[in-house]
Amino acid sequence: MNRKPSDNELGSAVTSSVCSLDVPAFNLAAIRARHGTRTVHPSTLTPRPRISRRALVAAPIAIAVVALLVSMPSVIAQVQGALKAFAIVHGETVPLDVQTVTLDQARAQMPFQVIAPAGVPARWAPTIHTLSSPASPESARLIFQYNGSGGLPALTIEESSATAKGPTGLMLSETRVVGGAASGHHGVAAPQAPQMPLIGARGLASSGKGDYVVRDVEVKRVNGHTAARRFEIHPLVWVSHGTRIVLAPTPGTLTQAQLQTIRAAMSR
Amino acid sequence: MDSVPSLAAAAAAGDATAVNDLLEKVWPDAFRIAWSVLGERTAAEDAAQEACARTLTAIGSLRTPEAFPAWFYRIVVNEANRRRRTLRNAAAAAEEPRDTVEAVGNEERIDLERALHALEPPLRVVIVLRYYLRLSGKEIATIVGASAMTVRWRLFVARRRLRAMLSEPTTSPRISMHNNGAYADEPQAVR
Repeated sequence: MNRKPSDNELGSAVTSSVCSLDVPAFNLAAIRARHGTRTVHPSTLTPRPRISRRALVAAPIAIAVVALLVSMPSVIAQVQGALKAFAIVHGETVPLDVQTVTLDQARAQMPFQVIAPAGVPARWAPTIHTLSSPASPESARLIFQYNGSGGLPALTIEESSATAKGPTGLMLSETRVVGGAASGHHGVAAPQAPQMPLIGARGLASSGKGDYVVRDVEVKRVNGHTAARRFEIHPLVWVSHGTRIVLAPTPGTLTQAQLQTIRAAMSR
Repeated sequence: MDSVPSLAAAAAAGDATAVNDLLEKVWPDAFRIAWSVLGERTAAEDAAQEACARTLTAIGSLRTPEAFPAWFYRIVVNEANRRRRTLRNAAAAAEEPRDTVEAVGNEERIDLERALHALEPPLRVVIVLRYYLRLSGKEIATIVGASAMTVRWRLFVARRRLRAMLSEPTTSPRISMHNNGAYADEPQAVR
């Protein structure tokens, strides 16, 4: 070919060349075998959403890092988690006291009216945490955390006083210990430092438009490989009975109709 | 045979037969896309199989069956890129990387397959997605995880290089590629 090909000729030639590749036979058994033995690699499943710098800077919201240790699927049921929380005060991270409580205990301790989650899928059971700081007791918060299949977070409901003027951001860091009791080094994660806030500034979330939560999930496997996945979550935020409620589902876990059902049920 | 969207819908709903049929239907595309990234058959087959396995895992989360092709292609590209990074790292341990990709040699006529092989993977994959799958620049950008402007630029460079390689050897351009995979004069997305 001694002249430059036109775009159409080039396209046809490329198509022809690619189609002429000898495609190996489809081997369902091999794929099934990989599927059966493979471990989680979320970074290749879902692309990280592009988030503009403007949005990151402009939105005084918080973002979360939930550092998870997930082992093989067969031991996921044995996952144990430990939650650490930090408030963002003037750009500094201040550790919060985290207590795992029952709903009754939460109602007794929180300085606002605790609204029990309702309308959540029946098979889901929450872990309830109170987050508080001795320096700012009125800014205590309550977290209902629901984990979906595989131990990954599926839904987080945060409640706080709608009138409290406490820290403006919150960071959550979850360390997962997998594979049963923490004996030796197998399956035990080093504690993760928080990197991003989860749920944002008071007042902003109720502004409605543009509110979002970015959740980074870092998955560490027992072989030492780390994969990361980032979710951009647009939470539902509203105030009911003086309590500010933030409903932050992981994408793909609940439909809009389900979220509205939860909101309606918790607003009664 | 059912269309890809209808198979994807059934597969997402848990129909095991539909999953098998769907993967078999898209397998040639998966292999060819993986090849366009990796430029090598064995690695391409491996990456395509792994992408199909990941699709098996994630198909239940697919909400829009019509979006399956782009969703699947992106899984394939991601998996192939991951495999390429692994291979590149292994190769880097053995020898110093070259900063400049050599233009194809002085043969008077170079067939297209060799010309495609001579393209760097980021250029080759956009060419294959554009001409083989006939995707738009925007769709390609979504799949390869680059901006539309970057994709347009890569298409421009790839076409220019292919044309040059397929015509007079003396017109073959030499385009510098940094070690990070970006081209010296490639526009960068505003962040």
